[in-house]
Amino acid sequence: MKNKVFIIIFATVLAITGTVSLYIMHRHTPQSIVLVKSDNKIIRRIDLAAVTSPYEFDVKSDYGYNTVYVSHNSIKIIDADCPDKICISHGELKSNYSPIVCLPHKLTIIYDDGNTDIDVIAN
Amino acid sequence: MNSKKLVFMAILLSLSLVIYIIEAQIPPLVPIPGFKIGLSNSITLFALATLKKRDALIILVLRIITASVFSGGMSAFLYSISGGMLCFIVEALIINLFTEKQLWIVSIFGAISHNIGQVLVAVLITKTPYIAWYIVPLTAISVITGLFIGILTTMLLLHSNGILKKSVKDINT
Repeated sequence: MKNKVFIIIFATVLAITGTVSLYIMHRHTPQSIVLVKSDNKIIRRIDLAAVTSPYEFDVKSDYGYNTVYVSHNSIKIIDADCPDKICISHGELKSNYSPIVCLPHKLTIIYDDGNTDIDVIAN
Repeated sequence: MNSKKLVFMAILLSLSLVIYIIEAQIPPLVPIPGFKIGLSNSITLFALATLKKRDALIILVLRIITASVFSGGMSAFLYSISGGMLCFIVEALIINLFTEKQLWIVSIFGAISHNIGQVLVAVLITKTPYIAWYIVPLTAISVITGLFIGILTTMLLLHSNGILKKSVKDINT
């Protein structure tokens, strides 16, 4: 009896979260301005629409380095010295529901939505 | 603490540490960042089911500390300890409500809270609230991995019942 109740509960949870996460992962809402933040400080602000020829740059911190690859309307991490390389397998930035994050190096790459970073800019 | 109990706890600790390290060497099965089966959590659950809660907690904390020495370092330690503690608290609170064949329920709740704890710490460290969305896909995965770990622990318990019946009585006095 108890088992059946929990099977139904977990099946429902799985169905809902599975559907929502598919929606989140395939959501593609490109914006033009991206922020590259290291250790909660904005270190670069890039207008992806204005990028004509691709280039790459390194973000170095006390924790290690990440190589960021920027091309027209696209940004991704192509190299890092962290153990798990999650930021590389994440691929290019698609929406703010799945920002590029390198947890060991405290690096995040997100679209500038205009309201999250006022404090950081003003500092 | 008698020596039988000490040995039993030491075996569980080394088992979970070895499982943790071996699991870290296996390449991820699905391309989802942060996805892990968390096999060593079955030992935590096993300890909760057989030992006193305090002793299970000791095994968990020691495993997390030693595991982050072997792999990962400081930030990995923060994520493991926050997820591990939340998972432990939830599992310790509800485990007495279920029989040993229902451990999969305990395990799923534990897995979900484990991921919630980790994501919350990630939000705090990076100060990027968007990361909280990541709880959704992780919860979906937790239901599956939690079920797997729970069934595994039940099998472990049923298989070791013969040995445990003899020794657990002295261990938990």
